[in-house]
Amino acid sequence: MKIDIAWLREWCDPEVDDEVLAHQLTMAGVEVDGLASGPDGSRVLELALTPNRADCFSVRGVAREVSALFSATLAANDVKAIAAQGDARRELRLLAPEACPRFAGRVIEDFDPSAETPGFVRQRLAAAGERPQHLLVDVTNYVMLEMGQPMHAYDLRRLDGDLCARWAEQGESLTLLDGSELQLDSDVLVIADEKRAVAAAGIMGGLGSAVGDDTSGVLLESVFFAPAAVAGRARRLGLQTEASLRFERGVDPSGQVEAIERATELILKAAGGTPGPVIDSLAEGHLPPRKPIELRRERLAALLGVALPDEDVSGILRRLTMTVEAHERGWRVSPPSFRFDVANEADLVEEIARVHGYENIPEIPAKWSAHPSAATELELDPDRVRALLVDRGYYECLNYSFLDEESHKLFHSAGKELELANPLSGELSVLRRSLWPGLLRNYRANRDRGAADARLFEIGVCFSGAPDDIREETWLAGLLAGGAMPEQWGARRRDADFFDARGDVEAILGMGDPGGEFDFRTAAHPALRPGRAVRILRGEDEVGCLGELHPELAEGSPAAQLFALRLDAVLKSRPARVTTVSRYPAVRRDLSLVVPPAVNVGDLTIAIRAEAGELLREVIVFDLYEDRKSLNSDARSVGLGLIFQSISRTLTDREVDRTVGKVVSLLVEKFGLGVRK
Amino acid sequence: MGELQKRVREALAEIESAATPDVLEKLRVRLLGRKGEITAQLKALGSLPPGERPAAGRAVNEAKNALGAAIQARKQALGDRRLDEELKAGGIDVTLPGRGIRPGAQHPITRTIRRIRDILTGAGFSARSGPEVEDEFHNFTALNMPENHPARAMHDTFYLPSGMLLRTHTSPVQIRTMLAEGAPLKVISLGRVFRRDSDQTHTPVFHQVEGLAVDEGVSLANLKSLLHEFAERFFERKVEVRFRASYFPFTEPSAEMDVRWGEGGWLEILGCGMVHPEVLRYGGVDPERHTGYAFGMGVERMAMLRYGVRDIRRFFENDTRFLGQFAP
Repeated sequence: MKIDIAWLREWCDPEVDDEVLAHQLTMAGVEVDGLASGPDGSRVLELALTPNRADCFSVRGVAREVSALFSATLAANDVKAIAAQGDARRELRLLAPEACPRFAGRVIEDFDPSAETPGFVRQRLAAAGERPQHLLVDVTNYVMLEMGQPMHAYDLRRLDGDLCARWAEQGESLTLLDGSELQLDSDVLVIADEKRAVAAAGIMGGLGSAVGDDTSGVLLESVFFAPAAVAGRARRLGLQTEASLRFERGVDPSGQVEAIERATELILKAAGGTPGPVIDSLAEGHLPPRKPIELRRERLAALLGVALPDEDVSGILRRLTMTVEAHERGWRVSPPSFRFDVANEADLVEEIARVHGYENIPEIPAKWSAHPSAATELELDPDRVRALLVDRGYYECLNYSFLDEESHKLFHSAGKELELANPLSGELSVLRRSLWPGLLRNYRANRDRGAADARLFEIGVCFSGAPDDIREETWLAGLLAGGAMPEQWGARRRDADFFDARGDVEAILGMGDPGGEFDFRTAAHPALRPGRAVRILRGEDEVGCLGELHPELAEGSPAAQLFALRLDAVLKSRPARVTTVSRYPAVRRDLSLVVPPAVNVGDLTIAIRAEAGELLREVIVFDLYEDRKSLNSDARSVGLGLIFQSISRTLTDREVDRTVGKVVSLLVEKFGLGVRK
Repeated sequence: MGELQKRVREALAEIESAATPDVLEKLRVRLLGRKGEITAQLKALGSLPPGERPAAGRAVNEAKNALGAAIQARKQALGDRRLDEELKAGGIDVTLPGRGIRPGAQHPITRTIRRIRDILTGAGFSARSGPEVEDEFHNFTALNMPENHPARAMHDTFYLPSGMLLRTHTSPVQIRTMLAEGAPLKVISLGRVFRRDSDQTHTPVFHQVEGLAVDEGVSLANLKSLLHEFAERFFERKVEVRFRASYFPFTEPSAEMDVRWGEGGWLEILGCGMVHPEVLRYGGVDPERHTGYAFGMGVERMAMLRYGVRDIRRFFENDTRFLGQFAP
């Protein structure tokens, strides 16, 4: 809201300059966005009002606030009742008194239709950013700005009989002043004449009864709506207006007649005319109840953390035009009718705090009871995982939680998309089920900028389940592409492959579970290249997957390795339970195997462990050689180092040889391998 | 005797300038060898009168020891030099860059979350999380924003067809935590939030950190103290702060905290206030017994101020040239 400061100062004029005025208002919660130059050299205060301060939506309202903040005199309200000179009238019926408990109006006839809006009204409207239009419209806008009461002017000739405030019929239509056609729902309030709706209550008047250049008789309307009865409707209809902003936050239920009188005065002065009687239909039982609020001295001090002198408290409340009655435990306070936001004790505490000034409340450290903080070994800190990946060359990424449907489909052949009802765009319309599409996009964008090598990861929530039963899980996903090492003189250039990624995955999983066993089992995944994809299991628990991006999704870019791990599985940890370290020497035997393509090295090591028993401490795959020519087949030459050690004695060559012998027979007989010792 | 001393001085000079071990060895033989000069003088002592022998003997022995020591020292020096030269010949170009992997970078947002978390856990808060897909009750109603509340207009909300929504703030975690754990309570909730908005200062996804303390006797004065200290820890310098009255449906009194920023005046960094009694009731806490304060801040905004980032969208582009500027 913008207001002309000179106008404000007519109502309340503290002896401070405009900047101080603006600063104090801001500090007290009536935020001044700026002090600008208005038309004709005026200065304009731009206010950003919070939704609770309906009472400040007018010059008089801000003046009241200024008066309270600076203890400055507020000008008396000089609106006088103007006696009826004719008897033209329309009845105003309250057919929905719970929503519209007060409906005031007055007919004015025979004024000069060509009369112009007075200069000061034009100037002040212009300062407020309102375009002057027609005397009647300008006057109603002016009164709204001055008093906070929205008004409407109907062309008398275009109304059929009396008016009422009632709920709309379901589907009832209404064409508004701005030309928009509405089909109303039955929870929208309307003002109607005897034939049709003539205004969407609290939002905008109808086109059919609008005033024009030939209007010489008018019905002025000034209403109070219960905020709950109008709130949200304007937003739903996409029609937020100056009137709806005020009505849904609450206008002063005692100001309707005064607004009529003020508008009458301005119209008569500018254009003459014959005013009829003021009609004031009132359903008093439906006006907002104004109960006195108990403010406890002790409660106030407890919330603020400091006790204020009694006279300061009552002084502040009185400056805010509240009625204050002191008693032993505190005060009984009746707020004025325009303070919709002050209804309970906490509201009063806020009023006192902000007028007293937050800067005048001391900073006092809390006296907490001392509780030891956690230092768990049952769960890793995710930042430890981040650090590991960062140290291994990864950059952490953050992507939006939604993506386009196409990307989604590439990665998930099954499962219905989890769509947003109101996405920002088609690019951002589906909740992510995976972090991979985002990382892949980041990889491509970085490659387009010239970064060929990529190591990227993200930790974030992914969604699964059905649209009406969405589940959330936090995942850690990574992407590895380009060189295995940064380009350098000291390492030969080699593309990162599955095993680089697997090494990173093993390092991550090993953090929470050193020496833990994880199964990497061949799997199929729509986004991964067949034969180069695995599921990762810890026992029966599937903790994630790893593989090479399917060439069809790679769009010709170099192979990228992808992994995804459930974060809870990654973070699961435990304190170490130490086993005795052997004091006896270890014995190593190397085996050189010729392994046919159908046999996996992983299966061999499992079988060897089972056969060799507990003396076998470790199996190292120290060599792997694939060359069709020299081996004369598809077989691979694999070097295994078997390390034996006992916890209780020095092993003899004989017993080690015997165990190795058993292992070799197993490999030859069960797996059909060629073995060289 | 003057003759011997002169000879020793000459010999010492010769030893000192011997350039190789061979030259030095020849010199040793000439001086101290079986037929060497000094050896000859020792042998000649017998021919002196008995009265002169002790003094002459002492002088010759001193000369012999001095020369022997000098030869030994010279030998050591020549040997060291040779080893040195041999090793130098095997030197490398130490100006070549080092080998191996180079660290990447943690994202400035998760880094900032970690810093905020560390500061606040140090003050006794512990972290909680909650779902990103929320219901109207936890996101709005229980936070004192009933349907049609004008404050809902400030939250441009993403909805799902089921009527669920993407949380517009981390405040629902406050309600969930109060219901689950009761008072007293000192928790922070950190995470993603969503608003239907996109420009230079808004992204549809961003991050918040919120704190909630509920206990007997928690006051606005405590809140001011904590947040002022928080700001100084976060920016790692003395900062001037001010608390400005504001409005949030879930706190009352409510305030925004500004920090003095260069010549440009004040910058708003967070919102805070005393938890509204209605919110405590929704959380199953008796507002007559317990009071509470709450505060919340946008992580992106904090990171922008800390690191001088001007456009919030940079945080979601994941350009490694941008990310790489943050130390790992």
